Amino acid sequence: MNLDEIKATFFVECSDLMSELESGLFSITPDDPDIEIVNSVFRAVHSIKGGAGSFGLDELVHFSHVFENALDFIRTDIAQVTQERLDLLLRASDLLADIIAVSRDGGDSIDASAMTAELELGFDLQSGDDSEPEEEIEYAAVPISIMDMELGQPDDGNQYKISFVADMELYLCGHDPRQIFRELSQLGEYSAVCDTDEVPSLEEFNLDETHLSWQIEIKTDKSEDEIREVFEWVDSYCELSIEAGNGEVDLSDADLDDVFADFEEGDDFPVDPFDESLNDDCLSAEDDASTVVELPVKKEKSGAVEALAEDNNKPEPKVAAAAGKKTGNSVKKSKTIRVESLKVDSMINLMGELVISQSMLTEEINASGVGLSTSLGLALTQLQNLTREIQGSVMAIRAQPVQPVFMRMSRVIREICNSTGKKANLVFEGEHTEVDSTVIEGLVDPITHLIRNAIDHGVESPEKRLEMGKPEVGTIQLSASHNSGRILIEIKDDGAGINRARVLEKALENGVISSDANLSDNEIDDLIFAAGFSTNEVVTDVSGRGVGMDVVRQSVQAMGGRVSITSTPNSGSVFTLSLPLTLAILDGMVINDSNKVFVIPVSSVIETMSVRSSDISQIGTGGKVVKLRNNLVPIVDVANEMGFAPPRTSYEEGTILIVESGVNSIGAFIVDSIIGQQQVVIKSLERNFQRVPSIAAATILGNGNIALVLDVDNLVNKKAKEVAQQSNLKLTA
Amino acid sequence: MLEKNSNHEEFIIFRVQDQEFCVEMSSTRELRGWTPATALPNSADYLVGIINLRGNIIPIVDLAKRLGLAASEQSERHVIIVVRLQDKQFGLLVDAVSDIVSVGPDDIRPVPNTNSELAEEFFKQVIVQDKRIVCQIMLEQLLPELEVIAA
Repeated sequence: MNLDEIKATFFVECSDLMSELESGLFSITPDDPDIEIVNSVFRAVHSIKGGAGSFGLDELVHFSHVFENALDFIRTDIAQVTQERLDLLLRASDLLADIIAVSRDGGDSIDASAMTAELELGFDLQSGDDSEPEEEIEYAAVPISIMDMELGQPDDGNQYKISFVADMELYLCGHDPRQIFRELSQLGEYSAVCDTDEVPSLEEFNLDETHLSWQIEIKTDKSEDEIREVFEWVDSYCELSIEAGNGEVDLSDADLDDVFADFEEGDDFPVDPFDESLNDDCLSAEDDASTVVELPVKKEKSGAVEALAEDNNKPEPKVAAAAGKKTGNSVKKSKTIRVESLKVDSMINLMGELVISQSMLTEEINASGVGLSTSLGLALTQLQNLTREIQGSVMAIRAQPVQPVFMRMSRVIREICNSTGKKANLVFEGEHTEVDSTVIEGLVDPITHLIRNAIDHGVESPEKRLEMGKPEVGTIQLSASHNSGRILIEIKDDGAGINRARVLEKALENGVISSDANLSDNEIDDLIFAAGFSTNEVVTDVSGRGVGMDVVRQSVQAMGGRVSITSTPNSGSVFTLSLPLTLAILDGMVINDSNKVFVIPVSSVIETMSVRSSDISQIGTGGKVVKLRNNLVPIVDVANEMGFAPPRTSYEEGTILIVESGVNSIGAFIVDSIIGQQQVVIKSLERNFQRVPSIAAATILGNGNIALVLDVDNLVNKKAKEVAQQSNLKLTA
Repeated sequence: MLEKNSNHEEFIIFRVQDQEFCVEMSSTRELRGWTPATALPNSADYLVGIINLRGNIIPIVDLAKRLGLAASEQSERHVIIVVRLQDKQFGLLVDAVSDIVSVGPDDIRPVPNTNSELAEEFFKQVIVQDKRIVCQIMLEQLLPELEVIAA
């Protein structure tokens, strides 16, 4: 692994940490803040800072340090969590994501000073802290002795006594206690005593065990938290206790003894202070963790330490949190593995092969006349069941929850609210719904656009909302669910709904509809998906460039999906996206035209019909249209369009498939016959060849032959243009 | 057996319309018997179509047509040589594979200037062995340019 690879891994981790950070911030409620979540958010930022430090990404270190301080402020006093502060933190996390992106991809460096100032103001931070990160990344080589040192006389500052027992794990992870001590030495006057009593003689020495522990005393004006921070990287690999004291009393192992005393009281098991399993027991079992928590109380009882009351309370949640973290982490590790998506993709490819080979085998066996009740037939049935199951679990590997996409939207909302002065909250539902990663990628753009649209055009300004008796802050609900083999994404706002009068007016003005059109409410709502349509008179940064909704519909349809809208005036609109669960397999209608087999995505087909010659009319010199109720639909003569056959002469023998490629953009494919409907595995033509016009992809049929999947959009639009050029006819008669 | 020599390069020699051509062995992935190909719409006439090579879709070039030689009727006697160029695979439809030869640098010559467009466009170099003269096909030239077909 070279440095670049390590760095790449760091950035991958960063994006994980950022989503943890964002989802954490998002789930903190000011009324009932959860210290656990604050801690996990803090850890995420801290890990980013740490990693950034080792790569010398100074800007990132600097800002994450400020961020961390802000988080530490609410971590220390959870009651300080307010909605304003959370909003500020969320905006800061946006900036942090930007800085990470710049550090990764290069580009103009981002000025974080405004946000830094805001954070310092919002969280009562002293900007003096800013100098600290540099110290942390450039360790000055301070020669230290870990032998006995004389205790300095306390005159000012706090004295802390730290007991530190390192697990084997700590060394295995490449940490070095010396570095920790070095860092401690920068906090103030310090001394460390290494306890070597447990080191066995050379014969008994076991390389896999640790025997060292340290007693550290430090006199510093820094807080306990800052001391604890030094141990942040190793806190799950060691037994650590920090006691505050004025230094006048010699504490001599008091805390450790207390721990053991406690164990002895509660349990009968023999306690060996340097038994490594003890550390694990302490940190993994919850009741044991509480034993550790009791420490400060015990200290007071013994009168050894005159600690401030608030100091006593502080460690409690933290130690518990550390224990929680340890268990949480170890569970997580065993649960997930990071696999390159290419490997999964190739597995899915092979899966597709298996399905094809199996159906070839089935065809052969059926053709040979062997019955299903024979042992061969039974074995085949078993194979089919297995294949189906394997296919399901392979697809499940690539399935991911939509949550990361949803999380991204919270940022989108904040940005739009900032630029429009509107207020809106984002509410999730079903964010754990899983869908194939290919679909996830395609979801981002449409959802982003719809959300922007919902705020820009839907949610009213705060004043207007109050006037109308609505809550000042609008609500955007983003929900996901599975529905009959498809995923449904709903974007629901409680805004003004669609202003149908204005939509109609605009549609007339832009020539999208003719003046005598008589449209139902739904049809009017659908007009916003028409190309070149935008009702906002002022073109805003956010939306309203007039390329919005038709692009959304196109990109959704390109994935074999649909988008629809229902709207109620003054109470809001709901946009619904319905998408297939995977893009690797397609529901296809298999058709035959002039002895060639083609596949049309079922999602594009609206209806099938047979025609009489009288329904077909010639427009101008070439294009033909078929009359479908009140519409004239251009005919696509499939085989002829592909150059496989001369123009069709008799239409009555063929079947017409009405296909949709966009609003107001439908076509009639005429083919010889429909063979059937089946799931087909999509094969790219581009992989070994190149894009072919009119063809979206290829697929392999059960007999091993290749069928071409038609590019419906391409064919319909091409035809529509031809016909329109020749006739200048309004197709929406 | 052919002598294995680090200086030597192996070529696969095949017949198209009574002429012999070759491609470098290192680009060759496999030989296949003829399979019916699925035609692509509005494609160049030398592009036979696409076939299913163990789940991969690969295009097939009719070498006789591509080189402007008299077209042959496709039959089951034809052979498809699957080659790999960069990360793409495609097939060459040829009449028959005749030989695999190992050739030293002395036997490889540049394409003689014959004022032939065919030679300039498609041939990379010439292999001379005994009395045999075989032109090596430049694989890069066989598939249509991306810009031409892409819409």
